[in-house]
Amino acid sequence: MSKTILQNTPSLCDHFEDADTAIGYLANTLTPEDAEAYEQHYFACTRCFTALDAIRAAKQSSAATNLITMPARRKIIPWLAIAASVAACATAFFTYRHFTPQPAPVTTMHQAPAAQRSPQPSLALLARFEAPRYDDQPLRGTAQTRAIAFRQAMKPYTAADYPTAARNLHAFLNTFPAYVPARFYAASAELLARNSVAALADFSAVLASHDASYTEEAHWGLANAALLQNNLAIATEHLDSVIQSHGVFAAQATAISTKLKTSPPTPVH
Amino acid sequence: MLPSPSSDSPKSGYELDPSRCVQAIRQGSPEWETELALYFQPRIHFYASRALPNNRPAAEDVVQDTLWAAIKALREGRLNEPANLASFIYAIARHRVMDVHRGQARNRTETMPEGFEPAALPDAASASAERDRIAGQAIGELEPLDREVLNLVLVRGLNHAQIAQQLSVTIAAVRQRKCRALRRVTERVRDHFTTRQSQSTSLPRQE
Repeated sequence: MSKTILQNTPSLCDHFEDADTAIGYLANTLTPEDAEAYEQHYFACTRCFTALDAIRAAKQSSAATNLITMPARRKIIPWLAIAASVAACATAFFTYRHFTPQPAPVTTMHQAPAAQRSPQPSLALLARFEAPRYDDQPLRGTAQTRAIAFRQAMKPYTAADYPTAARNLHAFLNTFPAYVPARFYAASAELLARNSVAALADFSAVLASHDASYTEEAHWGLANAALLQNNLAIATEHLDSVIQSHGVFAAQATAISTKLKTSPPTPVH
Repeated sequence: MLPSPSSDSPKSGYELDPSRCVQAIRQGSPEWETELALYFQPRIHFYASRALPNNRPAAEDVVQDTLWAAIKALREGRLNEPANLASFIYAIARHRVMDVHRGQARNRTETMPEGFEPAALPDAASASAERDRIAGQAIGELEPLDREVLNLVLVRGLNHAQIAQQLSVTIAAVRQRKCRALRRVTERVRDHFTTRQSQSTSLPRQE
């Protein structure tokens, strides 16, 4: 792709009629030079920017639809749901009986001494979730009530007191339920406090908000929460989504996914 | 006499005449500053959110800082070639993102241009979520096979041959269905985008 063709030449944007450039840009598969040229182009070209934004929205909605339709199908076919429940119970029983009980560290696997005792780790040992960065930046101009309250609720988070941060943020969400950043940090705090059930619920809510800036992190959080619960199917699904996003967690997700495929958890005798 | 954006730009925020915009801002037109902000805010937000995927507050700051810096520069007549307006603003946004990556964003003190009120701009994240909803509706109205193709392309990242094999159809059929599905979704979102932008109001100028 020639940079000179793309810059400030909206009339030539028929090059993007097949949408492959936009899809490649969203999937991070363009070269850095092509991505930069495309960015310069869509700053100038309304047609390409609206197409790009529409494809982003379609990708976001399509991914969310996947999550929603899976349980719906189980409702349509009741016997399948029953069979799935039986299978889940059997899996849970198998896991309970045969897997070595392990603590659920939220640190990296190689830091866990329990892993040295057993060459076959439980799924929880694969979880590696670090506190998402939060910049406690000074408020500018006429700060809104919500911004002030959020900043206050986040204070324990910055001090790594995650259980308190989770409580504060859920109290905040009672007043501002649609504020996605608060939901995201509440989910993260729950996960860091090892409340995987609450973390799953909060990260699912973040994903359902369709806020693109949190999509990858929400999938990453869901994958880690599922690993803590030893839920291989859900963990794999969200790890795949992280890998597909080609974002900052893709390498870690690939490493865990590879580990699951090459040496899946097996019964400890 | 200053050119009026309302008479020259039929769809506020959707199209922008760079020459008129640069000239009018240099002459002190708050309406054209609004036009510029409405046009570039979604683009800068898109770019910054993608460049800073794990730092939404910083991405929002990049949007605001870029708009502020651009308007200040245009008021001072620092852009000589109006045709390069988009590249100029992209370059500012890019530098702001690099500042965040280098951890220098906090050290910079950007003074808000007098008379510019960013709080009056539509919330870019909410607008983006709204377009997701519209896209979701459009996807729901697609034929099931078109919807499946779209899902395999956008979410699973499969190529045409892989999709053809998975769905037992020809590669040409995959290409056709993908184009059709994307066109329908894009048209629906674009219609919504242009309608919403044309309903946007001008920013008040502070006295």
